Amino acid sequence: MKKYFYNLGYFLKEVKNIISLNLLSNMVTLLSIALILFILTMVISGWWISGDVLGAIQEEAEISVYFDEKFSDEDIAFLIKDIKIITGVKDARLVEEIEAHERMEKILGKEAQVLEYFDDNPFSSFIEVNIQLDKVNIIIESLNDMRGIEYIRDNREVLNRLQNISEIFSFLGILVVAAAGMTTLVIISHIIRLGIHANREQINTLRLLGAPEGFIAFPFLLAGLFLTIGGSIIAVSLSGFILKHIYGQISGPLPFIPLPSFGELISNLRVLIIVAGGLLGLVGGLFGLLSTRKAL
Amino acid sequence: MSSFKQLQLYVRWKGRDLLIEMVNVSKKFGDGFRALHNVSINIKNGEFVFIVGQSGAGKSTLIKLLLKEISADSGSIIINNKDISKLKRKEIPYLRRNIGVVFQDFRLLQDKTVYENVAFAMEVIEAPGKDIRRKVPIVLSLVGLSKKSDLYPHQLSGGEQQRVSLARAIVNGPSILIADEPTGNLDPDTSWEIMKNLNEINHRGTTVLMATHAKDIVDSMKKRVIEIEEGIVIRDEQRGGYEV
Ligand SMILES: Nc1ncnc2c1ncn2[C@@H]1O[C@H](COP(=O)(O)OP(=O)(O)OP(=O)(O)O)[C@@H](O)[C@H]1O
Ligand SMILES: [Mg+2]
Repeated sequence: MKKYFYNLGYFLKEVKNIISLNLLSNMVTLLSIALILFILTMVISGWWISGDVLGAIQEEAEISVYFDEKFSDEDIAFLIKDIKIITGVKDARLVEEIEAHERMEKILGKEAQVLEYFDDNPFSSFIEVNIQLDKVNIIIESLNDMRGIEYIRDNREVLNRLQNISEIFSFLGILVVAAAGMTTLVIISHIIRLGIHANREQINTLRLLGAPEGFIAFPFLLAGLFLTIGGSIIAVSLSGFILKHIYGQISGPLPFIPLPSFGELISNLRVLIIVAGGLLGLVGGLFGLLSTRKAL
Repeated sequence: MSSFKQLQLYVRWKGRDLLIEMVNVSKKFGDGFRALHNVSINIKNGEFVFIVGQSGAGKSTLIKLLLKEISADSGSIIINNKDISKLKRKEIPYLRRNIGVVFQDFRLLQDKTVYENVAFAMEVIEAPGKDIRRKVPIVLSLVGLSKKSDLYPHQLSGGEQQRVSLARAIVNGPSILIADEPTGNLDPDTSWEIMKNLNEINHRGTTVLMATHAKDIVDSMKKRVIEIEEGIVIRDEQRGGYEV
């Protein structure tokens, strides 16, 4: 390996030569790879974000139980005790009218002024029940059997929708990872073959001068790496830009959605995509080299 | 000294003396075409050998076999006491470092200067930079190109390009220099310049093997001549001419 560093200047010059011999094809390749990896990055971010959000929401899964308004404090206390012993219930507590009002104000943010149009507090008190999400059906059945419960608001619909979105993203994610991986491999191995073909006379001369195969092949591998890593960098920068915009869109008006930290997301993406790009470039380059080995 | 010991020494000496030994070498191409048949040639250290024969006789095939660009179907080829038919793919570069090659079409790297082309032959065998800076000017002056070392191949005449290729072929000090029609693209005067260089290289101890159609050159240099016809050696004479 030492000798490859020793000759780095030569190899870089060869890479320039290989790329400039088919400049247009190489630029198109770079942009296609950037585009493919950009799509990959976006889908992976969607996958990550939705998974994260779903996880966070599942952690705090809760249902609201509204009870008979004529219940006395004692009745309520009994009800809460009964609810607490249902399997799958983590906790249950009373949310008073005032707290319900304050919570809504928070959620509405700027739009909270609509609440001022009401003379009385429009919210009633309710029991907030923290549950294990997978037990939601049994819990609701048990609650329905209890006396004095008028209405149960579960967030099943929202949770189901989130779950669906997350599943779609993971499905898309796997599909896109596979497609992007294969396309990149094919594109890189193809462009490397093109480069080898364009340089075949020089390669022949090098062989006759006694150059080892590794010495001849190395600049082509390096060229492949340049293209994929270059593509990754473009893809990650572009995604960073777009994700920032999306984050701005979500976190302003919907501050209660538990998005993963932007900085962490971006730095993870950066590492992931650049490493993946580099690996694909290396493997694609090897494919290209192997497939031309016979022909030269 | 016992006669056994003398015999041993003699064999060792002979072994060292013999640079190329081809025994019953045959080569057919994919379509069954017989390019070389039962060729046996011995070439000693320091010899100058012309290989002649009509177009298609098998001269280039012979050279490709020596460089192991292609492999023989049968027979053995021993270079520097090493049977090259048994070489692994990875060992081929090391065989070639001991053989300088020159072609009719020069095969210089167009994006490199004269100096770089020659230095490059040393770089690919991972020679230290110090050696490169010392040796390249020496071989360039040997072929009379010291003043053109910064020019690119396309700025040179054919003869000059061929001299660069000669310099490149000898810069690593190979024991053999193989030239396949080195004067094929050159006019007679320029050809003679190249021959002078080759002669000089030979006098400095490098064995030269040259395939050629240049009747004048072969006739006036009075070197060993091997003639091939349809893949068979039909003549091998010391101080021979182009034709019998
Ligand atoms: N790769 C190949 N496949 C099939 N036939 C080949 C191949 N290489 C050479 N031949 C045939 O072998 C014969 C000898 O070719 P070779 O190149 O050795 O001739 P040569 O003596 O060098 O001729 P010239 O003087 O024209 O260079 C020719 O008939 C040629 O067509
Ligand atoms: Mg020939």
